[in-house]
Amino acid sequence: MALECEGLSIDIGGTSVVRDVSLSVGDGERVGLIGSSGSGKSMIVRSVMGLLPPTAHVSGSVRLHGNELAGLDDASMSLLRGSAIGMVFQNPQNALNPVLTVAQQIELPLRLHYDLSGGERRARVLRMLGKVGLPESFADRSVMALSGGQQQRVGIATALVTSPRMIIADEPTTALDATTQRQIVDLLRELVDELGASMLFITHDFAVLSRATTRCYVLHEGRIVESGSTDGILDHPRTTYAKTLVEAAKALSLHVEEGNGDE
Amino acid sequence: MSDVVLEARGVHKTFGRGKTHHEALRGVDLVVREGQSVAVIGESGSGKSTLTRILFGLDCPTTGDVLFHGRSITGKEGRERLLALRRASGVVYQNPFESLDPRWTAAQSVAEPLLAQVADANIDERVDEAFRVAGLDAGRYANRFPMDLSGGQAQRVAIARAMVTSPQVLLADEPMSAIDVAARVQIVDSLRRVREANPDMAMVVVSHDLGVVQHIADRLVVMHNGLVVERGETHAVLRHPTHEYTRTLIAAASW
Amino acid sequence: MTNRSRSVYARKRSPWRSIGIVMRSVWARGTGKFSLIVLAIWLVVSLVSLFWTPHSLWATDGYHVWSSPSRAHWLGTDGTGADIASWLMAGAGVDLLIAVLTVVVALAIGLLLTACMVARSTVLSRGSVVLIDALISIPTILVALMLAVPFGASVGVIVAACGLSYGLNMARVCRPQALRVANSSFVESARHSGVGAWRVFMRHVVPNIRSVMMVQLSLSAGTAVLAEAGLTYLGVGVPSGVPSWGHSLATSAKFITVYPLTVVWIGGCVTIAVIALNLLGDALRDASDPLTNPALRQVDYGA
Repeated sequence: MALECEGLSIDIGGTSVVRDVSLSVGDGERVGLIGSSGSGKSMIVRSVMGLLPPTAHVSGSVRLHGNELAGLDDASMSLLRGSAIGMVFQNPQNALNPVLTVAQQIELPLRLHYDLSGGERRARVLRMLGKVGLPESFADRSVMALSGGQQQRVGIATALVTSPRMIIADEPTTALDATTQRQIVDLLRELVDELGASMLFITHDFAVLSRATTRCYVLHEGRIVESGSTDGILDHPRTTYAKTLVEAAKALSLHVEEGNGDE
Repeated sequence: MSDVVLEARGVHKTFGRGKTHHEALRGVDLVVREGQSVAVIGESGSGKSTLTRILFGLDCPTTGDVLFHGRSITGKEGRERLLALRRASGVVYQNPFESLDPRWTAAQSVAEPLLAQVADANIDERVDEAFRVAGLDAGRYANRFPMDLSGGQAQRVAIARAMVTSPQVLLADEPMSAIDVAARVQIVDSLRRVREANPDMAMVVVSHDLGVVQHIADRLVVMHNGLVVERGETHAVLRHPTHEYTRTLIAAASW
Repeated sequence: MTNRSRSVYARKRSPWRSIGIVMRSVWARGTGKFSLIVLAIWLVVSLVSLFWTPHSLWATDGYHVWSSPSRAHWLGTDGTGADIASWLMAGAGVDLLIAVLTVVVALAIGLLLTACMVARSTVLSRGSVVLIDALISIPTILVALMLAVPFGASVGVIVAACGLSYGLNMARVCRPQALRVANSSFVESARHSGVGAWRVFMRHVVPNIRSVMMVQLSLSAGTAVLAEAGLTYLGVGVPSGVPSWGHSLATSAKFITVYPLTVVWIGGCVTIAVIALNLLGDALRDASDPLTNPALRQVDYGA
């Protein structure tokens, strides 16, 4: 198992935000976690990353490749972040440092976790740029000069440059245009599969989820209310909450009889 | 043909000067008729927001003209007409948590435009009515602050605020982008109810997502790099797109 | 107006009720409790000193100068044999007056300048920024000295000098937040639907910068007490003969190596008062903001 949460509960300042959540992500598997805002999705992500606020009280266990993460001190968690776990954030504009160039941004995890020469780092960064579909000429530009989609590509390159075995994508498409959303989802899927890594994909949109993952968990008010294969839930959601999410995604997807571009 | 409410003629908009100048709009025409719902779609940077902000008098065109009921709202001579347009229009913004004062209750926010325009009248009933049309239970939500509302609820408060003065034209600028998919359906619903309750009202919706606008727009205007590349009746454009960019947008919305 | 009493819009609690809720929230905090108690004592002592002090301020006693605390003189006597406790009590009133008046003046100047800075007119907004940056570089003491030349040392000089300096400071600290509010979508839509500029400033901008203002004003009140002590010591503050903490400090500071106890009393008073004012600002900021105090967000339909 790449990632395993068992009986995870999180309390923040006396309010319970995540209740008895158990989920697992197998090796090389792409798994989704779907729910509305306030359902506790991001709290689960933060507990895996060790980024919960100090007032949070966590119980249960979180294991990464069989190693318990709960109770690890901050220094050991820092070692894991960026090397064993790669993270793609919702809003690339906030997640990227505006004073860095694209290359400096991407090589940051390499500098922190690996002892490489400048030339080796540069070569890796350029290779990574190619993989996320950005020209090498972008390397020395400021990240602020890029469009939202390009920034998110830089975010993905930064998350994957250390070849982590586990990728967590926290609503990576929410802040993007419809046309860019699909490209980013497809890119993430391809790169994760190519690395043979596992991915936990967080979203509120079933349409995105169906393209990014094979299996998913539906989170509602801090509890997992349904889980199974993504296509299965899309076709036959059992709980009312999953039904709402599926119907919303279907209603907001285009169905043009004679249209094209539809697969 | 019903009356033209708003019209943009040959609108250009340039930001900045000299080397860093950026041409956001490069000669755009747009007609919005009474009772019609027009969606302006395109990706970020296409000029769709700039165009609609100019159309509603929130920004000035560099060259070109905007007409409200056939008379210009630009320049000094258009000042009075511009004020008339402002009184007769409502705006719904992308992020309700930025378009509602965080320290005001929902009812205060909804009542504000009305209090600015009518001296006394029956404020209560009209605020209640605006909540109802937007699809919110006034008794339950009127006294809440934005931070105690979900994104969908807050956006419906914003819709009620825009609708409380019964405007002739409503601008909805990316009304669903900042909101969960499940709540987007409620906003679509809310905008439809608003139209049913005000059949003469014209509506302009700005969006990057065809999946959202298919339910609320009669006409589509597709923008790309500061130009209109395609326009027409919604179903016709969706079935027979003529421009390559429209096809990309259609593909992006068909999951 | 009567028809609004039952309106959704007016389902608002009365200001008195809000003040009650805010005060209860301040009281609920340890620091808030401390500052409210100190301020209450300060107020009571000031009021009492108007009518009664243990000894007359002008009763000097050449046989008992620098005496230690005793039953007759609770805190001892000073170099003229006057009762220290009586002077501190009378000084408390003057300093309270200075603190309150400084806050009022700073608030008025700060609000006016903030309004100018967020105005749509570029002349007003740019001009006010330049003006503030120029004026803020003049030290409070210098302002007081310049005012003291034509007007003579007085409470008014202290209030004017401090009020001006702290008002400028407040405006500068409030500016970023005020600008953010002024450029927000909710202000744009309010202006769009015809709400006047002044109304937008009072109803949107001010409530949203109130937290910053609270802290700034409470700091100003505390600093005004300190400034009074300093300015009076320099001879440009409260005129001699008028009781104030600065006056007490000035008369005893010269003998600090010989009779340290007298300086301790006055120093303690000033320090505790200033700490209480600063803590009150922090407590008020959290208690008076509906975003941080859930009690203010609760629906209550009033009586």
